[in-house]
Amino acid sequence: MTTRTAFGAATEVAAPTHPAPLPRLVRRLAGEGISWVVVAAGIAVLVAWPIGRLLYEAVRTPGVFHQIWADPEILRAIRGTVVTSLGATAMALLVGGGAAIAFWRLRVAGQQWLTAGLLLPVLVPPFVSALSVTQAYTAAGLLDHLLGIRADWLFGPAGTTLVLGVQQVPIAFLVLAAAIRTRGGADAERAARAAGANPLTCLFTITLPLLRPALLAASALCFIAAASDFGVPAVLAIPARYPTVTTEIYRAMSFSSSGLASPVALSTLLIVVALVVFAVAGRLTNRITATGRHSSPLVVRGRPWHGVVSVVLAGYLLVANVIPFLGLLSVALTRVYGESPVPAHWGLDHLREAVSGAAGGALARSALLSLAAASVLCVAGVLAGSVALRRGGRIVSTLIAIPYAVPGSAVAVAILLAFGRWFYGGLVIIELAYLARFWALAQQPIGAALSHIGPDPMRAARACGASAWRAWWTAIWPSIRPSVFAGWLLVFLTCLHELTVSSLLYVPGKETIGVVVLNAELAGDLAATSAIALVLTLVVLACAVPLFLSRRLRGALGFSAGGMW
Amino acid sequence: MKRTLAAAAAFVAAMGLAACSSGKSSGGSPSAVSTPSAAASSSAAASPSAAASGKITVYAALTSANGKALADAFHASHPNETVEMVTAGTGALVTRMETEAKAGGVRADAILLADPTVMPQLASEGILGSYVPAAASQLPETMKGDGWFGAFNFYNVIIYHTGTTPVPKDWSDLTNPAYKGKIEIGDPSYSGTTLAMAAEVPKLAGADFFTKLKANDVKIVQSTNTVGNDVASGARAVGITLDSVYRPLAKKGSPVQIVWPASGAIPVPAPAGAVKGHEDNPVVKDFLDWLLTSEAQQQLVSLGYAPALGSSNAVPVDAKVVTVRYQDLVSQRSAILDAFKKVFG
Repeated sequence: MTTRTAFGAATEVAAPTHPAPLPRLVRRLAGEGISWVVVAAGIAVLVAWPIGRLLYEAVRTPGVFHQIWADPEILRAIRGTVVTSLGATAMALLVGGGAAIAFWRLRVAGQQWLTAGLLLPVLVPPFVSALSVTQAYTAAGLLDHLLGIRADWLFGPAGTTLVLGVQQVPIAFLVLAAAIRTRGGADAERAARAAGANPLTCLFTITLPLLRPALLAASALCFIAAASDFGVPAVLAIPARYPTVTTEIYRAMSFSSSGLASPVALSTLLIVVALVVFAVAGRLTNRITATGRHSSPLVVRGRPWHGVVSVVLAGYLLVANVIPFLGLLSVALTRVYGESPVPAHWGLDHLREAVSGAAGGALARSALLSLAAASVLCVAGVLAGSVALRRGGRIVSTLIAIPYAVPGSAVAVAILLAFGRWFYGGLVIIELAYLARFWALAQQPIGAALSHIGPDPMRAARACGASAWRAWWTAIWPSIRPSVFAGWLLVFLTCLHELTVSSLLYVPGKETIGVVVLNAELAGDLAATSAIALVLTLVVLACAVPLFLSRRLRGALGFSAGGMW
Repeated sequence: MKRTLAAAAAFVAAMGLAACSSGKSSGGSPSAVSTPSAAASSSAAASPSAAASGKITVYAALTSANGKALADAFHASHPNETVEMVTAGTGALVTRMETEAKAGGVRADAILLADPTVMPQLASEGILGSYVPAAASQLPETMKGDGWFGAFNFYNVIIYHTGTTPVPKDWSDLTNPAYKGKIEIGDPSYSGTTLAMAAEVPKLAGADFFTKLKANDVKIVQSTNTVGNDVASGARAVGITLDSVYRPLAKKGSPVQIVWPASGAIPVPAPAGAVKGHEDNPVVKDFLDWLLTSEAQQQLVSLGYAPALGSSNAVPVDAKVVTVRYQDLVSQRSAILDAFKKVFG
């Protein structure tokens, strides 16, 4: 209240002393309004025009929607998508969110390595993840060879849900870890503990409610990422004849008897799903303003049972990441596909081929595209995040989420329809598609962080005479920095292994790493696919290692817990 | 509150940068912007010098390595003419062309796909041109259509993991309970090559073939490649897939064997053709003509495909091959899929 009064007083005083050549409205537009204008322009260019152009294809073909609803398969597909995506979201929140909270509150041994392990799936294209799970656990997989264990039930809804869940864990972890770092709430927790609340009461009455915006942002992201994924159901759901919306879209695209109309009409289903998810998430979001930044983590003194957390997480990582990775490795290393993966059959031929081919240049191009997309989208995410907080701004985050909610192929078609005349044949059109598709990935965590900050810190800084930029830099930026980095990392890593968008938009000589991976898959050469996926994973891992080893960067991302600060 | 002003400026600058770089990379496209028909002449319009040096773009449903090998072989026999391959799956390439047709014109000059059932659709959408090489007259009537011809052939065959007993000899053998839980096939919903199998095999092995396969706990996967890999790894003992899937696996030494079914393998032509409006480009004609020369056919055989013309050791001389009418297959598509779905749900 005091700051608000101070602010009010400041403007009262400042107004007369300032010559005020511009009317108040113009000044408002020049300051606050400019972000509206930029975000509106960005949405118009990256979302409204391409997606509108896409929908026009479906709308102008009469009978397409009717044809879709007449297909009994479609209801099963919708149910399949909802069931697997909900399950995957729950699992991601449990594992990723649980780890984020545990790392913040407890002394967990080997935290850095556990963090790296939790983030590993974000480095691997979903279909490669699904592939490596089958290579590890199903018939003729690694465990079948070694121990005679074959988990063929993984083909079906259960396996699809689990692998989609593993794939979303990094999103949940990054968003929540960043939120915890800014949200703190440690002072409130201390107060509660001092008042006699036990740790669990603390968790449920203080920590989780404070994290609600971040939890909702993470759930929404995880859900629509799982719903729009095709790679995992392609490998695990199709063999069980368990349809999802994306496999139906792929089927319509493979055999597009009505051209683009039916896959596009099917994609609208996912748009509706995204709209519903964000409407619900928006309704549930409470905008508690921050109690203050730099809340120091409340770390409970190390206790023996904290080791249990390490063991449980390490067990999860072993099952979800390490063994599938070994499955992938065994296929990439075994000289002849189909032979048992024993050392006598090992060779580096596939890896050598993977490195010698077009992969090098493609990786450089992908890195450039990802770097640009992540950087632009972080700025765009901050702008959209702040606009979304204003009156009528909720629509912004919903609109931004639409390209993220539909499969990559639909986005690629939309971008090609919208910009093909002008930007065809370069990296620019791929970059535009990345910007459109992954804006939500940057905006969600940043928006969640911004929603915690009320207008007071900014007003206080302005009242103290700071310029607008300086006030933002000192009052807002430190609080959202971890989330901005989290968003940057999410976008960068996701772009790096993007497959479908680039395969529809590349031209010869401008391949991205995704095109190289898809080409190997197209050839049906699993050994080569595994080798390229392995190289990609190792390269990204090599880039990520400095990140995990740098205490400062890790701190900025909110990965490490107390004792570090 | 001008807090976002600087951030906004950065965003605008970044977008501006993107626009600048695009201006550089897409040089020559202004002509394509003003008139779609100019864009329709594709690479010739995009870079005027390309016409002189004779460069065309081919959308090919090959692997990038095979696409490059084919392009290099063509360039070797036509030193002044170059082919650039955009390689992807048939479905992705068709989607891409349909989209491009609505966004300023198809960028390909010629196509070489892996599924003949998409060709009538491409023709009706005004994407497929009309040029067919003179040598196509030697092809059987069923292995070509309006505006396209089979550049090489796929065959739906049976493969099995080395050591499997009994060894299947014909389609009907797959209904043997000895293979219960050991068979894998592709899904006709996702590809026309498998659609031909789903349509033809019941004619050879009995109308209840798929019902019996279901009783044998057959596994249905999305692609014929998966069938090949699963049989090679031993995850499944027997599969129905394409000969072109079998050959690279066998070449690398994977434990997999091929069976040319006694009652007949199901042939699928790999359709090639010109893109509408590009038929008069001499390089397009040269490339399509070249595909049916014995030199190109030999090159295709060395890449692991069965030739469309001439003999090779790719297909055994005594192998029986059925005749598939691809025009009919397309019109019966939904009936075939319905019958398949009725069995497998």
